[in-house]
Amino acid sequence: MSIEVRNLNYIYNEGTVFEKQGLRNINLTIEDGEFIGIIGHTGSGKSTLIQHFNGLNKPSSGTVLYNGDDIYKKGFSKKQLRSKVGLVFQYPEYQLFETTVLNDVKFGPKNIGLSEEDIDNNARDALEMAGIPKEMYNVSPLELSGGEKRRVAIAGVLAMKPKFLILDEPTAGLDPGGKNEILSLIDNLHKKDGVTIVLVSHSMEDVAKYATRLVVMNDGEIFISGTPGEVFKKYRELEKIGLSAPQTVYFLKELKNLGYDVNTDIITPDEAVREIVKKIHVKRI
Amino acid sequence: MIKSENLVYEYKRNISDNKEDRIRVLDGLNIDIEDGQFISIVGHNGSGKSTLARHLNALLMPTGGTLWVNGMDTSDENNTLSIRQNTGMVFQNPDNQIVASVVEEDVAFALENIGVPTDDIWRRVEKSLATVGMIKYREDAPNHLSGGQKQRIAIAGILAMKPRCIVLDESTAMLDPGGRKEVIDAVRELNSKEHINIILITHYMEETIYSDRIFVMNRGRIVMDGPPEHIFSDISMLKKYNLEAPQAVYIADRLRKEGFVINKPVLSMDDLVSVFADYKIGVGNVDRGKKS
Repeated sequence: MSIEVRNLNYIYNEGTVFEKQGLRNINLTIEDGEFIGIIGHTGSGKSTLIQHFNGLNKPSSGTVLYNGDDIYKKGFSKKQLRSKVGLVFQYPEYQLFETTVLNDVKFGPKNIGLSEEDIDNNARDALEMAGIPKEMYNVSPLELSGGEKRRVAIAGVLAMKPKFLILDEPTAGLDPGGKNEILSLIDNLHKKDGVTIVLVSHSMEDVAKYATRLVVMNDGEIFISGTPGEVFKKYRELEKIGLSAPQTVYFLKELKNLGYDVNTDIITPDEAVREIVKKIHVKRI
Repeated sequence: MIKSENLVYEYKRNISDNKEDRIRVLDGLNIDIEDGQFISIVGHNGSGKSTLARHLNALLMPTGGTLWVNGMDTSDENNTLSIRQNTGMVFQNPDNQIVASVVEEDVAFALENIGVPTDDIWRRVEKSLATVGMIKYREDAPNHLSGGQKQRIAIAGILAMKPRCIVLDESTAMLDPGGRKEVIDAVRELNSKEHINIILITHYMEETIYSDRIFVMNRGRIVMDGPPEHIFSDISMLKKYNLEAPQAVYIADRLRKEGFVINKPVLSMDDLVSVFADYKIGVGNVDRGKKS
């Protein structure tokens, strides 16, 4: 399974005086089982790009293939596609609308025409995955905390059992505890349930910890792409386009400058601690 | 100066047609903020941070207790206008707080509203835009700016009012790393050079390490209050309040548990680097080259 973006261009307000190129010549293949982090400054085209993955946006030229099929060709079922490629928007909790948590989560599977029984089972599975306790199933979504609301909104997408889950800044505005809950939910979906993940994020620390590959967007184009280690090596270039490397990267580079023999490919704090314990021999107590 | 005594904020909620209950968002806060301080407020979602912020410029008024801003009781409506000129707010979404189609007109908006003479308006707008480093965009359309630049325009609009205090309510939450740094650098400078009170509400612990004091809020109360090195010295406590430590603090804590001698307080990666620089020159019981 894969999503393949081919020579994609997207122009806002094409043919008017407000015409503006949103995406330029994007080529990208998302393979089964990947965890892709998409980073880029505000306005770099991240959200516009991911809204092509399930056919919400129509490219000005180029196309998107799902398992090799052109999703924009006549007769291709977008409804089917959207149940396989789940998209969680920014601040998805603003879209909660039903009277109870359970009903809200059922909305998606209802729309793709599953049986009553499947709808109910899927919704309950999704809520369980999202870590929502059973006592909350029948309360109004408006009663929940910020982090809980967001997990319910994500459950609404999970209830369609997507193969691909695309999340647009799912942790923005959450406290550190709520943020970690969402990230470990996503990590579990990737590792245990084999869901392919595309995570749009402004947190370099988060994508460093979880992503297997990073795609860096700048002014509507793919600036660089590679493993987190490869991408964050180019921190100077990242800084020029409004990004940075995780703090750990700068820390290890400074240790190296001090003359310590440490591996500067390391990008997460836990790895950094292990490396220092292994390589830096000072007297310990 | 900002001071409160047993500040309470409650609202009523209908649970059925004839039943209602009271939700207590702020539960008896006693705060005392001196002029020129840089205060960070952290806490879980729903802990009352934004509700407190909205009291500081009388967008909300206490339902119990008293809050004074520069000696003015915020619940007295005669004070509302001067409190709002004294204390400006920057909100989370940069796109929701820009009203004009040209940058300098946006910065001038509030001044026009309070009837400042035109010559004075332009002088103040120019100075404010220069202070936040946005003067070269004065004639641009705000919609072409980045998130960090838009937030700096919002800050300039407040600066033009010559405030004593700026409250940032998660103003960096929607920004990329570059934009976050722009905003934090701008408010740090306003604090150190112009001595403007900064109240920074954030979920990014890294942004709080420069503050004079951090308030930790939990369920409508301030449960911890102190300088960053004090607040971040107890990571397990922070976890209990749904928070975490900055990464440098986390790494230092893990290394201490591995037996590394780290005597000085560590808040930033620079602090951590200086610990290892000290090892090189023999500070901190170095025993180079040998395994311990």
